[in-house]
Amino acid sequence: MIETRDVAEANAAPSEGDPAQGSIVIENMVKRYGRMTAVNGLSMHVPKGSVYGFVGPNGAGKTTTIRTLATLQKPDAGSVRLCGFDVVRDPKQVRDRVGYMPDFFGVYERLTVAEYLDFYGDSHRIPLAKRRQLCDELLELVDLTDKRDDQVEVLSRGMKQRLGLARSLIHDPEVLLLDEPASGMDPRARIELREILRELSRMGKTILISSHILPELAEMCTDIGIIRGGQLIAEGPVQAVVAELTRGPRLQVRVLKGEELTRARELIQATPGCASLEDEDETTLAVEFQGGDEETSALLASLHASGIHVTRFGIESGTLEDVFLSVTDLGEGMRAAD
Amino acid sequence: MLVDFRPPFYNSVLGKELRTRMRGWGAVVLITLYMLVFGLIAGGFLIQQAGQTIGQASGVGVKLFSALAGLQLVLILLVTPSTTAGAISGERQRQTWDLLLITRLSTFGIVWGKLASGVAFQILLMFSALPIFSLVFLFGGVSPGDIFHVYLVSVLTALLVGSMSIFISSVSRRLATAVIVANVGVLVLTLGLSLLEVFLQSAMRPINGGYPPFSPLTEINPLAAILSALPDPNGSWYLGDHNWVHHAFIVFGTIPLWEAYSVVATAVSVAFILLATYFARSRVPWLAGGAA
Repeated sequence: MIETRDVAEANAAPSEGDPAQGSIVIENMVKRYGRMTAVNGLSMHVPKGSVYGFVGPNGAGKTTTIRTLATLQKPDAGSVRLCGFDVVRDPKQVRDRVGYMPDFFGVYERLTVAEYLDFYGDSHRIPLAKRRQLCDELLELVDLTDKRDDQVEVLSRGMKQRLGLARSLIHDPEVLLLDEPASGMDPRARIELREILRELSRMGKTILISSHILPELAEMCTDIGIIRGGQLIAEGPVQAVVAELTRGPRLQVRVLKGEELTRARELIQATPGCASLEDEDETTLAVEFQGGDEETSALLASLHASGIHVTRFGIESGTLEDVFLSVTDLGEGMRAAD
Repeated sequence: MLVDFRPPFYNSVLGKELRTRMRGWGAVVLITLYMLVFGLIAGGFLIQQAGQTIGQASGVGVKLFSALAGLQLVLILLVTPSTTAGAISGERQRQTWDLLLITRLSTFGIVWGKLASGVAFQILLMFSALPIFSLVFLFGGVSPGDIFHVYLVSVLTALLVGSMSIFISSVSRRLATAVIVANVGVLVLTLGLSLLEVFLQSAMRPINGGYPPFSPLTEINPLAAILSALPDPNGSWYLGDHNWVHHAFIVFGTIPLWEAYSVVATAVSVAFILLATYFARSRVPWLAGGAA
């Protein structure tokens, strides 16, 4: 497991309102459904005000963890705290502080958009006058003001998702739990959702978001946690996790003619800093290169001096997708070793 | 200025259910059909009884009253499961249940809101039929007290069937399953208990040489309760001596069967509501699944 943050800090007993303690602290959480163990000793720490990407393959335990944080189910073992409150001992306090948007949710027939929000506001005991004002503000935030008198059931999926987000914000929660919020959305709706989440982040909300759309998570998130088999196998700031788990920059070298490829391969292999090398196609080499800027520049110069016609010489940094693939491969390896 | 007035026993679920139930054509059509059935039965009955002498008028009034009360009970037994059995299972199927549980509403509050709105709609149907019931006063033979007793039994039957349906809904994942099981429950409560009573009576008769008292199970049978609340055209009771029960458990002394039913139905309804509250939030084994 990759620990990019002090473990002792994460394990310390949190107290409400202490930003250093984080909005979400989970220690050794276990959740079983009959014989199946969905979450197996999960420990994670979501810093206050962060946008935390919760990544993992299907069946890894993401939804179980999120539902536990939303007080919809109890853990079988371990401690789960949100804003300093235990989800088992203080569920009401937790519900006042958490907004939850499941991966799929239904809507009520015969209610307008404004009535839908008003209903949930009333269910959170928000006074009528404040409810009206909040509804207007939230509809503006999610860009549904012109739909306020439309029936909820006729909205598009993207609009329903945005309305669901507004619903989860109706009681002004400190923490937002979003389970696959972009699933089924078209690219435009996803961009709109991303903008809204950025705005919420600027407002100081702590957002935990699970998603399979990794490039978008990389753009939005400040921190990530990667879960597999019910256990967290990597956690920390996005850049730190990416740097830690990818094998260094990848250099792509393309030559003009296929017959130049052999000479280029021999020259690159002889260069210090070249960790590995493979052919991508007849004219392209992919190089795992550990050298710095000077070594990279020198490599390009030596290729040129050798009379090799270089048509592309690009450095590709590691991505969240690389991290995900590498970590899940690691998990497979660990499992095989067991 | 907006006034945030909350009547006692009101919550957001009750408000939303009442509002959405009365929207669209469904409620209008149901009320119209309900009134139409009552009107046709009453009209047909009056035409059939035409030509009776003035002296027989009170008998006509009592027969009409009995027919309307019986019809109302049957309609309650038919309509109430469909207005309440989907309360929780429908929310689960629609995937809105979790969203309710994470609000500040208590599980009891949600169950209460669902039940109250379903029973309130049933009461609206009953009171819309009240003008047709008042026809019996043209003939006499029926007192306002009799109407009150019949309405009390009817409202408590709606509460009993409604709370039973909500309980079934709380342990069902699918709406259709809950509605079917609730209707089977109604059949057991009425025809099942009645047949059981007939069997017990016929089995015990030779021993005593006469009709033995009804078993305690009759005190939860809506059909027996409504018969007990109705005067018969001869100035007696349809159930004869069985109209009275001697009960030392709930009340002391002898009371009409419909009074015992009122107490037992209320107690059983409360039990069903409490069970529904428990199972609505608990993870019932046969509802488990999904997640992760």
